[in-house]
Amino acid sequence: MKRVFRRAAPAVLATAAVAGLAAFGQAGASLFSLQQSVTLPEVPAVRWPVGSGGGARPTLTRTPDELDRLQATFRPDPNAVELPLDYENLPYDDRFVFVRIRFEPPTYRRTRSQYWGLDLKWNHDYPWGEQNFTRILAEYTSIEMHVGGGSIRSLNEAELFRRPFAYLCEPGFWFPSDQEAENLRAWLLKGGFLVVDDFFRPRALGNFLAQMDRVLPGYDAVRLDATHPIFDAFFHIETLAFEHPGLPDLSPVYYGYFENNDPSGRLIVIANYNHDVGDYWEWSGNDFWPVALTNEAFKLGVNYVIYGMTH
Amino acid sequence: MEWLLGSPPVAFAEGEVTLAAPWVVYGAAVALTAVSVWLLLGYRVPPRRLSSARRLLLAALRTAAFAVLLLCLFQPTLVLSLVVPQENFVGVLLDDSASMRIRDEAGGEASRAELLLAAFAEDPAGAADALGPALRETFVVRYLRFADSAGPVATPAELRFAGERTDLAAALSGAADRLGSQPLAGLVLLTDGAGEDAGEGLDEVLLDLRARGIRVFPVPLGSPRFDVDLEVGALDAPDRVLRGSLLEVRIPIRARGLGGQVARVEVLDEGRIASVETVRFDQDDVETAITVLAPTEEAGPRRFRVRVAPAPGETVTRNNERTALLHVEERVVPILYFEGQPRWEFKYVRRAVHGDGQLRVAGLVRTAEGKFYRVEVTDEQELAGGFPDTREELFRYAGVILGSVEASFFTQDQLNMLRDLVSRRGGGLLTLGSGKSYHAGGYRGTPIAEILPLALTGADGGTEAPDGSSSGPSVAERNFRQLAIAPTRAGRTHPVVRLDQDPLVNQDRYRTLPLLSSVNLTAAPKPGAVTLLEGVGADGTREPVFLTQRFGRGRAASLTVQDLWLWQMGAEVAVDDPTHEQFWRRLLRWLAAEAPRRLEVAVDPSRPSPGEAVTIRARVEDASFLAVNDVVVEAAVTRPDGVVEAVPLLWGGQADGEYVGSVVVETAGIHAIEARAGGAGFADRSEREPASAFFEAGPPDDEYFNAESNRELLERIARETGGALIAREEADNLVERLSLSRSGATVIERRELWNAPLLFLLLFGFLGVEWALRAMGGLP
Repeated sequence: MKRVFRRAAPAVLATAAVAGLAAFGQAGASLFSLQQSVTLPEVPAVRWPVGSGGGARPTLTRTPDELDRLQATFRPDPNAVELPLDYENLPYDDRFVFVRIRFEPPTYRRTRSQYWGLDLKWNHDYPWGEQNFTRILAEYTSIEMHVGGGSIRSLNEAELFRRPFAYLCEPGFWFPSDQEAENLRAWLLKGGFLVVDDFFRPRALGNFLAQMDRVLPGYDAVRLDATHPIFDAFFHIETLAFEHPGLPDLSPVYYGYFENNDPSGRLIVIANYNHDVGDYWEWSGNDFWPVALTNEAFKLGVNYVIYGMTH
Repeated sequence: MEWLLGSPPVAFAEGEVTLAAPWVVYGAAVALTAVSVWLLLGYRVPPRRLSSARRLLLAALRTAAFAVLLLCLFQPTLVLSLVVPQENFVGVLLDDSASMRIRDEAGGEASRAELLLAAFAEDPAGAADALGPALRETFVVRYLRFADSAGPVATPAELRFAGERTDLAAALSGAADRLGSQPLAGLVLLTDGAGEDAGEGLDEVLLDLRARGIRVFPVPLGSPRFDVDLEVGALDAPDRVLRGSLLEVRIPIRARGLGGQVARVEVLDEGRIASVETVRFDQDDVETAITVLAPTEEAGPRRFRVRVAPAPGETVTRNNERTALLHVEERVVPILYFEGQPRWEFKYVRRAVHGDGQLRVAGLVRTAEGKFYRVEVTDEQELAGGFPDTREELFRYAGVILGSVEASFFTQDQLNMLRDLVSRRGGGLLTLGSGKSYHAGGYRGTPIAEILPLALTGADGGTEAPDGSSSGPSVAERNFRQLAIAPTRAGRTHPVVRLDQDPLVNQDRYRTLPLLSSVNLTAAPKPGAVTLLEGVGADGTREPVFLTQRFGRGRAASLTVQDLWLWQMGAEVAVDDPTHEQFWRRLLRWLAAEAPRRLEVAVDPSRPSPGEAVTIRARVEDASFLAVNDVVVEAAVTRPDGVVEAVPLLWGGQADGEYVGSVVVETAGIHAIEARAGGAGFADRSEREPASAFFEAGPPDDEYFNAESNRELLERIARETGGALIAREEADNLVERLSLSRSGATVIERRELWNAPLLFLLLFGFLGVEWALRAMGGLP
């Protein structure tokens, strides 16, 4: 794999080490203070009609009619500071590419030396996570794709709009600028599908929900259960009761955002709260995590991609 | 000429010239030969000063003079059969249609009708050469009026000039029947010959008149060419259209005297302006056609009126508009989209048609080998076994989209079925670009290749194994190129490709759309194909990107690009930009909305007059679209007043699957027809849906179209019946021609011709020239 950070190579190792000790996440969460205090919204759990055909529609606090039609225009944020990183993205050719969203944690600038300046949050599980996942995806499905890696894009890059599938991790440390939030809104409303992963504890969830409220004002995060079609898009996933790698006391919750805030419609964001699917992917070649759980993590990932490409 | 011959030339054409004493012919011939020989010998006497040519000429002149003398001696006689005065009839057929009110005579001062009445006035003041008096002097004149119907009138003053059609065939055959038993000198036809189908059905009538020896003398009225006029021709629009589609109306426009000017063309949907277009006329005399696309927003029978704003000084303005009754349908058109792999195009096509109540795109994706993912299916059974393998299953869909799937995925039978879907079932097939499409997908030589609007050649460098196992770069990698998309000339007015009514805005919208990409190298379009979109590569080369063609009963379309979804997703496209949705919705409508259903109903004529019978035709096919002859079909005709009449439609025994019935229209207005089929083979639910059609009964609106005087038609009537075209002022000529008729009560008149001045002049001419030549030659 050529596309690696020159500086990030040790970072991967460092991250790996921390993850391996299962202490990294907690340490990361405590080291960064959130800029705003958030209260957790009441999130309803809903049941899904089987198949995409109809059925009872869950009720929500806000109906689509009450939402203003959201406008969004993509513009690169002129004030964005992006660390110069040396990697090479895959050129566009209509095939599936796993895109990782990069962002700059604002606190990072103050604590540049943290983890030797190498823990960038968004790069957790890079590059082994996508390397392993894309191999599995190509093996199981008929998707024509770039195997063995992906691209890295920030929310300020127009090129992101030629990649309708993206992966964002550690949203507890994600503070997009207003323009970046608007860019993501445009990307989602046009048809993008975002997978959010690797965050746990209420504080991280609070930040994620608060940031998403800026991205999709007026939209509700909806707690998904195993009857949602995304859990039947390729593999039939019976139960969502997985274990977080390394933090077995957490029970994962899946939050979704829906187009027009209509839970019978298209899912546009799925967030694996209290979960770290990417970590299972990353370490699938080692014996850190049980094979059965790793297998479930791959099943989730494959379903996410198939759903994202068909809905 | 008449003075020279002693009788008018037409008399010679009609009559017969005989010689009174045929026995002298032999003697005369002998004598003439003898005289010629003697004369030649006579000129031989002083041979020195005459050349042989001069001698021959002199002899010929003298011989000619003798011949003229001889002719007089033979008593040439012109034998004519002249009608007996006041014993013969002349039928005068008078055009009573509304177009006679057009004021295009005498420089716009008089109407056609006024001139007609003047010609037949009882007491023509200052018009001694009027037709009426001249005819009445010699003939018994019978007046017959005609328009949409024909009948006798006592005097022309009874005409009202309000007829809504000009039916020349009925007028002529009616007159022949009415007067045929009388001694009839001929028929005089005063008409402008104007009207949409004034000449309909004439062929047989003219043959009949010719056989009965009845000659027709048309007297044309009206100007054969208006100075300033705009006319909307017969509209070319479909009978029905799916709601939300762009209605494509082709509007022929004929402009006179408006060179360099612009006219505004409006399309109104039940009185509301749906579309506006302008047309510029390059020359004074132009027949052109424009295509207008109008949105269809409301379902049901809708009157679409096309109106061209009148130009100043126009002779007739009532031919500036036309109305068509259209059935705007509210129904769901099922389409099958099959993808050989999950890919972005699939997702975005689904998004584009999401919320469109008229299109259901059932999606089937091969997510892994032998594993399929279905979306938008109506029940558990639909597509449960993957791609349909029976005609019944496949033909449920009015259209099929084939995405990235190799030909070897299908069985031979499935490929044949796809071809039959287009050719026999009348559905639409759309193929999309991908590394597994066209030649790269191994479609060359398959039944699909027959349907496609583009020819498949080995241009993209060999096929790739479907599993991508070939070594080296794949087809997709080798041939990947980005293209800027632009509409072709044909595309600019196509309902799928035209994004905006304003041509400049349309161009701009294409210019600002994201680049697309293609991996398929395709050969030239097939001869019958239409290229609607072109791609311009980085080096400026152009290639067809979106092509269509008709195939059998259906349609085929091919997109060679693989990522039309970028028109939705691209960073430069606004979130609420409708281009992508609009393009797909219109494309799928165009592809599949006109595909016939198992039960179809149609009416003929589409605009009957009250009292006319309308034929209702239903076509019934089974689930695999084979005609069935043993079902029960009934049509319910709902009249404008709400009364419903049941009309059984019976298999006529002629065309398979065609059931016919008829209903007589009683009232004007919109009639709705709902046909239902039942019985064997028609048990399943989906086919119990009725088929509907509409027609509007009312007076025809033909009179002001083709309203210029139709000389060509009138000349044909004259020619084929042995008559002649007579100008309104030539009353004597008309009477003369009628008098020389061989039909009716006639007397034989013999006119001596020996005293014709022509013969006298010839005799003196020959002798005088001979004398002059002799004098010049110094001969006595």
